[in-house]
Order: sequence, then structure tokens, then C-alpha cells
Amino acid sequence: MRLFGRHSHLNGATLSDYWSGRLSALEVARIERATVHCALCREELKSLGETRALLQSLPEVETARSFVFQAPPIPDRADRPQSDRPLLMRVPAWTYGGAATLAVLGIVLFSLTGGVGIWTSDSEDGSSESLVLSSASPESAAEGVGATVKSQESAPEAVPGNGAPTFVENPAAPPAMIGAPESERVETVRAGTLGEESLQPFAEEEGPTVLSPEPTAETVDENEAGIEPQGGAIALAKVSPSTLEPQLEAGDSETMEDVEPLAAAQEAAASAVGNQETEGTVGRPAIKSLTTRNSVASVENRESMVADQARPPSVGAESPTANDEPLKMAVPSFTPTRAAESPELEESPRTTSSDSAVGSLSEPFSEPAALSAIATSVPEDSVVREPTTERSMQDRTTSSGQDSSGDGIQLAGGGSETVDESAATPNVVETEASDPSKEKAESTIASTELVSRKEGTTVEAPSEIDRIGSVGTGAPKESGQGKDFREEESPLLPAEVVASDSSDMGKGNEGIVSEDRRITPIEANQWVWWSLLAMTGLALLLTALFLGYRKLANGEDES
Amino acid sequence: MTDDSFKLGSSSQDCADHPTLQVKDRNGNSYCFNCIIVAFQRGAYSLASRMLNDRYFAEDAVQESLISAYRSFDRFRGDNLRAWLMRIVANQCCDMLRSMRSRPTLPLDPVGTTTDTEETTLSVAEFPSGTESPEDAAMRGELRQAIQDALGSLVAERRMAILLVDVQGFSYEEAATIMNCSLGTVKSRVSRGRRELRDYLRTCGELLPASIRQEQ
Repeated sequence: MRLFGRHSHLNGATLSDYWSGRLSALEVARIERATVHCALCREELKSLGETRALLQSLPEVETARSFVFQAPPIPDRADRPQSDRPLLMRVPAWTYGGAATLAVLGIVLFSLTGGVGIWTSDSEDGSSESLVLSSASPESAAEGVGATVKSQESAPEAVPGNGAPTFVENPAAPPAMIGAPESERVETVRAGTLGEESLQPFAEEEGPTVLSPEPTAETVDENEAGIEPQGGAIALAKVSPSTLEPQLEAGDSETMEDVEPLAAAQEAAASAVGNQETEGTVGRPAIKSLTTRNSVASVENRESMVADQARPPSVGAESPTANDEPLKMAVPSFTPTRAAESPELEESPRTTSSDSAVGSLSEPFSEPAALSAIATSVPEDSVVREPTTERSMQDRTTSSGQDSSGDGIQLAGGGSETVDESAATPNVVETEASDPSKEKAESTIASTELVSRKEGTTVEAPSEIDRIGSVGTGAPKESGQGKDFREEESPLLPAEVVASDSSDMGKGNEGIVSEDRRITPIEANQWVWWSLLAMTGLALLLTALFLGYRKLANGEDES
Repeated sequence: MTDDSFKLGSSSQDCADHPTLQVKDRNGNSYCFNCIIVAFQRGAYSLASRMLNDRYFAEDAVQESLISAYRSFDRFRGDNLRAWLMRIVANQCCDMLRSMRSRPTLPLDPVGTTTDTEETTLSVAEFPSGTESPEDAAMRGELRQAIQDALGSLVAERRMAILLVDVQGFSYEEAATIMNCSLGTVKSRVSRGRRELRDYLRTCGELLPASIRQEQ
């Protein structure tokens, strides 16, 4: 083919179609004309024709055997009727796919949401920010009741008097009772948890005795006592005596009558404790207070505080405090859930309930604020160390000789038992008592401090500020150039006291710590994770069964 | 042979040497499937053996194709039975080629791997007359093997188009139906396949016809 006097060769497709007979007569004539003038196109056309001829000359390959069916082939599994299939194969395929997907999803969720926390304890990392529920009975642990440890100093302070603070029965109390700006006393009140109806069942229940040197069965069901088991906000208020007195006079006469015998018993216990301290030993109530059922402790604290209402405000009678600065009353009425709910408490693992107890009613707890409030209200050098507080700290440090972290106490004879530091925190630091037993106890402590000063182990008395400060900072107090006053007193705990206490602890006392019970959010939802784990395992099992059976079925078909 | 000859009850239908295996197409026409097998098994096996270049794989491919055709015969519309059956064979060959690429195998016996073993191994029976000398027969056998090697050098699509159009004698339309592609695609594949075969056969030299050899 010539185009503008120049020949353009035929393409291979056209030449191939020429041999295939798929060109029209016009195209065939054009190709024949081109091949006459162009030797290259002619040879190209000829070679393609020879190749096609070679291919067509290939004979059909003889079959090695005949493919005739002697019998109808077995129908495919898909063509089988549903009834012929096994039960497992009747399930649609997407069911197994969904099960596998569910399994994978469950595993992913389980791993992403920290499901391994079910088996791990927070104490492993040494942070010990989780709260310890001092409860040996599983039912009490299951209740999730907040851990409130009875402090032993409430007993000697439970002296009737006038002008004592009262309790706020519920959070919706009149504003005149809560947050009075003119208050000079700082009282920690758990709002809505104590009232006349809540105190009455307490006296009738059985449970561990905290106040008396001899074990007295007093147990209070927390629900009956009106204590909110979880999530109950601790209401802290600065209550003015002037604002509290009318209410006390108005409605709580019956409550005071109920409390009177208990206050008397507490007074007797305080005298006994004072005697023990005079002898340089740590009294049994101090240890017991660490192992007392929380609910009882909280209720008794409140009772002691109620009893304080009748006590005359003779602040500073024996106290070296020059002025009438209000002292702090800290009620360790916390609940384990509060630690999870309050980020401040989680961030400062050594924050005690007494820290959180100092503050206003509506304000959220702030450790610096609490410390500053203490620092401003209580001069550091004028604080008289509370005897029971001292005992509590002695107990804690004495028995925690092997507890280097200071996170808890290991009680002798009671197994490996850890008590959170907050649980050992004294709930009341009130030096306004003027009763003889109180004076005796305080004089004992004063003499003890003098001895300590002479020995040079502790320059300053470890006041409540120091204690809280050391706790708040998370480091043990380094007073006396490296030695803690409390550590100095640790050998003072006699072995017989420990033995007797441990024996007392074992006598059907549900409140005594026998097992750590760390309440974590994951633990609360543990059943969810277990059910999810079970579902995942079931899904995996079904998938494995299906795959195995399918493979087996395929093998049978092939055979 | 028309498709009607396979229908049951037709005069040309003969099921004397095999059991009658009745199948029905979409239109309800009954066929004897064994008659269909007898009629097309050589072509199916030839296509499979030249595509797979292995007779054992070819036998498996034809067997699977016939079973599939039997099971799905009710989907046959009754228009072109040969093309329909070859399409199944072609698809089966493509599947086996794909699996062979993913799992390559080497035969233990290299002698029996070629499809033209019977052809290259000449026997006295292949010389029925004196028209072809043993030398010519040997040359013919070698040429067939060279052509088979040339076919093996092509890609599967072009090889399939060449086999269907030039070897099996299908039209472009039928080849397009079998290969499930357009007519232009078939044309292109056939054209390029022929040229590649020609270029490959030119390397064989003396085995080729004189016209091709002269070009070298």
C-alpha cells in the first residue's frame, strides 16, 4: 500500500485476519495488491500462513482413557438436601464467621480495656494507691462498703460537755449548720450518716469492741446505721458551736441519752489506755482500732463526737497551745470507691482520710488546702500530741517494722495483713477535753515527748500537722536527723500484747483484717469480663469445631 | 455432529457402548451425557493437554470439567454444546494453571510429562503406508514437539486463543464465548500469538517448512 508515494507495510492483525478469512473482499484485494509490490509484506503474509498451517496440522491428542461415566457422579455438597447434612453443617456459614468476628472483637476489647487487671494487683507496683478494705468477711467486701477505721482516741474524748459540735444529719441541712464562717472549731461531719435512728441499731448489734480494752461485741450493719455504702460524699463542715447548739438542744436529746452509756464505757477505756501508756506500752485498743470493722469505727467515731457535744470547751487547759485555736478533727470515713472517683486521692496514694476530712462541706478535697488549713489553725509547736493518735502511730510503726514502704501494718498473729495508712489515721485530734482521764493521758504523752526530746531522737513532737504532712508527701518524716519518733517507739509494743490482740482478732471478729481486699473498678465489673472471656472461648471453640469438621468433610468427599 | 444427535430419542443417538446417563438442559431437553463425553472428550483432552502441557493434569482437568458439566447441565441453554463444554474445560485449565503457578511442581518422571509422548514415540502402527518414510515421521514428530514448545512459550490467553481458533477450529465468536472476552480481544490474541509462534519456530531451523527456513 502506497500512501503519498510511500509504501506503508501491512500490520500483522490484518494479515492474520486475511488467513482467518474474516476480511471483506475489498480488504482482501488491497492486501493482495500490497503483497505484489512489497516483498516484505508478501513474506510476512506467507510466514503467518505457514504458521497457521502448522497449527492446524496438529492432530488431536489421543486420550489415555475414556471419561465416560459408569455411574452418575456424586452430587455436590451444595446440591445435597439440607436433611442429609449433619447438624453442624446446617448452620449458615456466616454464623461461624460472626462467631469468629465476635471472638476477635472480644479479645481486642479484653486487651484494650486492660482486662489483665483482673489478675493483677495494684500493690505490685508499689504505688498502693488503692484502698484497702479492712474486712475479713466476704459479704462485707462484696458490699463495697467504704473502709472506715475506728480511731481509738474518740473514747477518751467522749466526755459529755457543753458547746460541743454536733452532727449534720443529712446533706440538705440548713445552711446555718454548714459552713458557718464564724466557726472556730473544725469538725468533720459525715453528712446524712448519723442520726438518732442510725445510732440506735449500733448499740444493739454485735461486733468488735474498739473502745474497751476487753473485747466487746458490737457490730453495726452499715445499712442499718444509715451509712451510705458507696459513693457517699464526705461532707466536711466548719460548724460553729453557736449554730449547732440549737439543733442539739432541739432534737437530739434521745440520741444523747443513748450515747451516754457508751460514753461512759469509752471514758473507762480511755483511762485504761492512759495507764498502759504510762507504762510505756501500747494499749490493745490501739491495735484493735486498726482492725476494727469500718462501719463500727465510723459510727463510733460519730458517737464519740456526739459525746463531745456535752464536753465543755476547755481548750488549752493542759494544752501548751496559747490561744484557742481550733484543732482538727478528722474523721476517716472514706469509702474505697472514693479513691477511684477522686483523682486527688489517686494521685496522692498516701493521702489519708484525715486529710480529706479537713475542709468545707461543699468543697472538693484538696490536700494543700487541707494542710494549709491545719497549718494556719494549729501552731506547730503548740500542738499537744493526742495520746490516742500517738498510740495509733506507734502501733502502726511498731508493727510495720518490716513494712519499709510504710503503706500498712502487718499485724502479728493475724497473717499477712496490710492495713492502709489511711485506715490507721486517727480521726479526731481534739485537745479540748478537760476530763481527768484525758488530762492523764495527755500528761503521759507530754512526758513521753520530753523523754524523746532529751534523747534527741525527735526534736519536735510529731504533731498532727507533721503526720499529715509526711503522709501527704508520701515520704516518711525525717525528724531527728534521720530517725522517726514513731520508729523509736516501735519496740515498745510487747509481745504479749500482740499475742493477745491477735487472739482477740481471731475470735469470730469479722471486722478484723484477715485478707487484703483491694477494690478496683475492674473488680467491680469482674463478672462482665468473665462473661466476655467465656463468650470468647465459646466462639473460638465453635470456630475450631467448624473448621475441623469442614476439613474432615472435605477429606471424606475427596476420598 | 449436531447437538440434536445427543438428545435422547433421536435416531443418531447410540448408547450401546456406555450406560445412558440422562441430563436435562434449561429448556428441559434430555441428553445422554455419556454420548456427549464420547463425542467431545478427545477435543477436551487435546485442549487441556496442550494448555497444561501435562497429560496427567489434562486428565484431571477433563474429568473435573465433565463432572462440573454434568452437575450444571441444567444451566445449559441448548445453543452450542461444544462451545459450552469447551468453556468449562478452558476455565478448569485456567484454574489449574493458576494453582500450578502458586504451587509449582516437578514431575518425578520427566518422560511422561509431555503431551506428545505418544506422538514422539513412534511405532510401526503409525506407518500404515509407504507414503511417509520413518525419517519424515520422525521429523513430523519433532515438529509437533517444537510447536508444542512454542505454544508453551505463549501466555495462557494467547495460547488459549490459538488453540481454540487454529487448532480446534472454533470461530472467533465461539472463541470469544469460550474465553469470555470480546471479539476484538480474540482477534488481537490470535494475531499476536501467531506472530510469536512464527518467531519461535524460526529458531527451530531445519524442522520448519522450506518457506519459513528460507526467511532465515
